[in-house]
Amino acid sequence: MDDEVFRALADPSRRTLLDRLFERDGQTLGELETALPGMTRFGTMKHLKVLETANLVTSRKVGRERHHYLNPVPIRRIHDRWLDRYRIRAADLLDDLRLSLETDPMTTPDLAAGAVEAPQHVFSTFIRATPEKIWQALTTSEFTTRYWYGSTITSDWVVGSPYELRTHDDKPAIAGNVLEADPPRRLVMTYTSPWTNVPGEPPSKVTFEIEAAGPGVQKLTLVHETEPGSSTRIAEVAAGWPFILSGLKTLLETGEPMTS
Amino acid sequence: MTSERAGVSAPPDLVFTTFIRATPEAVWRAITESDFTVRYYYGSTVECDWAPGSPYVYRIDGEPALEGVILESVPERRLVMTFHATWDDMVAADRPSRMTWELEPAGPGVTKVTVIHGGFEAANETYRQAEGAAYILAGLKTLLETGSPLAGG
Repeated sequence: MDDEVFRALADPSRRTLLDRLFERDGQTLGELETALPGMTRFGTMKHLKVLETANLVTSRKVGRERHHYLNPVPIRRIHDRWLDRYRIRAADLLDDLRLSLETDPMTTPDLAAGAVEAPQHVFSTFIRATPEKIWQALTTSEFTTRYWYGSTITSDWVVGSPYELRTHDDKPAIAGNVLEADPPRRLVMTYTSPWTNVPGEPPSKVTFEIEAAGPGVQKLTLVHETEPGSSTRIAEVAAGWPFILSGLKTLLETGEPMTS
Repeated sequence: MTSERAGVSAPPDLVFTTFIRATPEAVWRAITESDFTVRYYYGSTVECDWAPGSPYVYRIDGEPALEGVILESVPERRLVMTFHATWDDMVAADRPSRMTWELEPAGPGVTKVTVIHGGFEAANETYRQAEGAAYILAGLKTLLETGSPLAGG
């Protein structure tokens, strides 16, 4: 284990990647690539792989992107095992303090959900239905009226076309444009609503992905995101997505709405 | 992207939420009884008396796959347990993480079920595989609402 960590740390590019993650955890390959100018995407990937093997970095796939997180434990272990012998007491005490402050786990659900600041919210569920049926449920009022708070949805679902969701009493609710449409697998659209919009800020974006996940089962992933730094308010509506997706799943699997 | 966090820390807690057309009582039974778990929890049985301090073990084909200790137990409301998976060598090498189940009534006949998986300070492989909770919740919902499993049902 120590050998792998030392080997991983021996390379300056890999130390740069760790520094970048220290500055901001959770970056994607695309973001980390910019830390290593002159290196190919593949090269960056290889370095990340070495860091992962040494357990210095862990990653998690979110929709189509993989996010990377620093894991301080192996370095800490090396510190304890090797450097303690030559320790300078005061410095070590400071380090202990820093570590205990920084590794405080986030335990409250609100913080954990990232509901306050996260620019991206991801939800996945698994549905016993064909991908075509799920696509139809997302794009036609015949279905949306029975799981999406009674709303109707209208569009021709062609790239560039507008779409509109109206409430059960025909008030405008959500609108936007279709950015990508690859039935029955992928639908990307802008998302504007009275609840999320902030004057002068770009709209948020919603992506639906439908993937096969075993016989007769599809994985449906929803990503709702804003541009980094945007103050578009999606946290509150994002909290509502699990309810909508749950209703969609119930409707397709039982033929009945989840709530009466 | 996760919420801003300064400096070094563990991977963030993961939160999975679903709404199920069933009572909290029915959901609690499905979480705690093997007759149900074998049909949505990767085919596993579960052994536990669900009292705080008690050990639990999930078995797949008789082999231990997941074990830990109950930290809190409020029937039909809340269950907190340590989480140490043993289904492969990589996860088995992790230190235990922590899983919390929360059940709340959410309108007539509907229960909100939230799973919070956290405490990944020394559980990177567990974190990498944590998406399984979304599959388990989807299977739990399908089983309770249709009476048959999500896969092969």
